[in-house]
Amino acid sequence: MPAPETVNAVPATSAPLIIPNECSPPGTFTPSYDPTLVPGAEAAMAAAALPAPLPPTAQETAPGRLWRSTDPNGLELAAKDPAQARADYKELVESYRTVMEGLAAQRLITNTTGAGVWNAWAVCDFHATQTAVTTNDTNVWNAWNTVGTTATSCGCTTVIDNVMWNAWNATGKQTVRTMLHRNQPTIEATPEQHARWEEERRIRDAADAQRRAEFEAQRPVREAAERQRQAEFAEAEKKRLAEQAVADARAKKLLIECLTSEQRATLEKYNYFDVKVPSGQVYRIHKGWAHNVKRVRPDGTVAPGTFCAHPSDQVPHYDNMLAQKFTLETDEQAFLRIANRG
Amino acid sequence: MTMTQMDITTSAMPKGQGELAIMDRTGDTKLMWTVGNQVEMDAAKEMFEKLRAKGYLAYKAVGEKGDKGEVLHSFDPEVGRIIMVPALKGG
Repeated sequence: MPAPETVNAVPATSAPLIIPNECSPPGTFTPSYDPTLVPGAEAAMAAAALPAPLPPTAQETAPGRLWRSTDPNGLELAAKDPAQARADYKELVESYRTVMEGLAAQRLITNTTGAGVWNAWAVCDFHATQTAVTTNDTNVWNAWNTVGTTATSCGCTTVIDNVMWNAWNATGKQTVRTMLHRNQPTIEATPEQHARWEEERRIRDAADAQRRAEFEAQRPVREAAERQRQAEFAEAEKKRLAEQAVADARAKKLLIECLTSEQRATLEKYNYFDVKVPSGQVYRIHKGWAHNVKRVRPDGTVAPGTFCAHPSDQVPHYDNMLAQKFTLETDEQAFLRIANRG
Repeated sequence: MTMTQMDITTSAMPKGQGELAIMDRTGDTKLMWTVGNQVEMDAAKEMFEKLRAKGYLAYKAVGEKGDKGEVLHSFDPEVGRIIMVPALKGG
């Protein structure tokens, strides 16, 4: 037997498969599938026992050779091992038969053209995904396998068979009516296009280089401005801290002049002092601005919780403490009414 | 003595002197007057009433070394030190 370029894996006498293997011209629509309307459908569905394929040729069995063949129905097979290819083919044919049964049962899927990825997908819709290993639409098939059969979208960007893939994504497998398997031709750039792209790239690079050069030229100016800004900020911060220190010292002096010697001692030592109000209650005022007032129990322990009331204008913490002290001493209820609890 | 704003350097107010200590972010601003000097007392009173209208509370320090507060509802030049405190609000 001469070594053919392509090998018919199924003898010509075997019952033909019924899956359409030719791409329909764009715009055509094959009527709803009905096994009785497709030539050989019933025979194919009955062909459970397939004849054995032809024995492999020497060319086919050459170690490591990629074995490719096209069966009478246009199904392209590819495998390094002819025996494996035949096994795959047989498995695929079995799957197709089941597919046709499934199609007959599910009339929603009415027309499939193209025996590539769609058939593989259809096969795997009813069988394990590993059975479809010979699809030539590996990109979309792998992408679909990756995201799983329940996915409604795919991040794959290398899909070749985009018409089918988009249709599947857009409609969902249960509502697909027509899918045209249209291989997208590979676009080869012409020398003119290459030249134009190269020129555009050169112009872009030149513009980028100019922008970079201008940016670098301005760097000393920017850095000087930044140093100036940081120096001004540091100076302003230094001035602010100095003013704050003066304000704190002034406020502390005023507070101390309004405290008893005992209160002064605890303020110096612990940063708080206690205030006994006319009701007999004792409050502890800590240095701070908010939630710095606590209630002291008769046994000297501090009750849980804090009171938060402070002047409406921003004043140093020592002024805040004095304002709280005066308010507690003169109108405890007003303080308690105003203060938030923490 | 003319009315002036200055820091107090001693804790005790000299006899015959008055002081309005107004709390602000600088610590406190002090307005001083001499009892009997009508111009100074009028200026202090005007400031007192202006701050009261803005919601400030006026306290005079009483008790030993002025360690107790007492609310002032009107300007009294004889009090000595008056501390003007911004109204408290819940924090």
